[in-house]
Amino acid sequence: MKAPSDKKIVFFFHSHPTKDIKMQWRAEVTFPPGATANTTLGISVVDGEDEPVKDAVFEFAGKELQVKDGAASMTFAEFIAGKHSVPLWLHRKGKKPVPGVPTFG
Amino acid sequence: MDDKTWWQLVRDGKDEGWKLVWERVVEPESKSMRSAEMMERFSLTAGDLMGMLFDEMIGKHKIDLYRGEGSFEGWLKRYVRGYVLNADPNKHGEISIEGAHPDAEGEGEAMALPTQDKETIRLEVWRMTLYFFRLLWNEDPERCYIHLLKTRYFMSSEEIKDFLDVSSAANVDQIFSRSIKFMRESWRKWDRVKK
Repeated sequence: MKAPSDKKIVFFFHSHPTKDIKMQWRAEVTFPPGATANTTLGISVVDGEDEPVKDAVFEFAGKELQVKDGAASMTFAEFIAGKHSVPLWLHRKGKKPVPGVPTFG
Repeated sequence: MDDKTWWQLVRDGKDEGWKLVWERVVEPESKSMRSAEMMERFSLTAGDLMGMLFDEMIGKHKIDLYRGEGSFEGWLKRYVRGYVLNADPNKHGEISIEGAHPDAEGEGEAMALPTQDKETIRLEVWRMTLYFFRLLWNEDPERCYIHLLKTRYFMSSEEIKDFLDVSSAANVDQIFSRSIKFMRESWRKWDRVKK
């Protein structure tokens, strides 16, 4: 696995609509130029008011990633291992998990 | 590069040939006075045109219809124009090279009176495209990744093969072709439901 050396790739996701705007979320998964198997991918998660999500678990590519102050991470290899995994959720402690979908950015 | 070589590269799905399609046909056409306004109205992007061309030429073997009469570039441009002209959200999937004949230029636009709210249609097209993309994700997220890498980042099949650890570039093409087909069929089903 190898990302192009001349461009940064970003995949965008957002939550299904929710009544409470704070429960909505948007996530960006960034592959730096030239990323390889062990490269750490930056993942940012913000709520419906564009505030970083303080503490949550982002379920993506078959992994449950800890989100702290709007940031999470995984390696490129982990992403590839879970590239067929459909579940996409943000779990906040004591709150109902909110599913998401891919979007075009 | 002569037309025959270019045609052969495109037919074989080679990146070199498809890069030229992007540079000489899709990008200039998407910025032309003729197509830009219609593309904006129907929420079409240059990436959509590229995806459509790939699906039609490789997926449906329309490339074999080129007989070497006239330039290959002109032939492809007529095809793209036909697609843009027929991109009315109510007529998805209706693509005809005949409809894009130069003699027919501008037809259909003359004296056209608005009968629908374009903004509402545009919004609906956008919402439904996102919805169909979600359905595609549910089929297999890898299809969505390939769709995005092709249409948003204009990556070649070879680059995507390396990026997503797919077995071969031909497999990338096949998955991309299926994703385009899936999106198109979703539109057809939606059109049928609306009627």
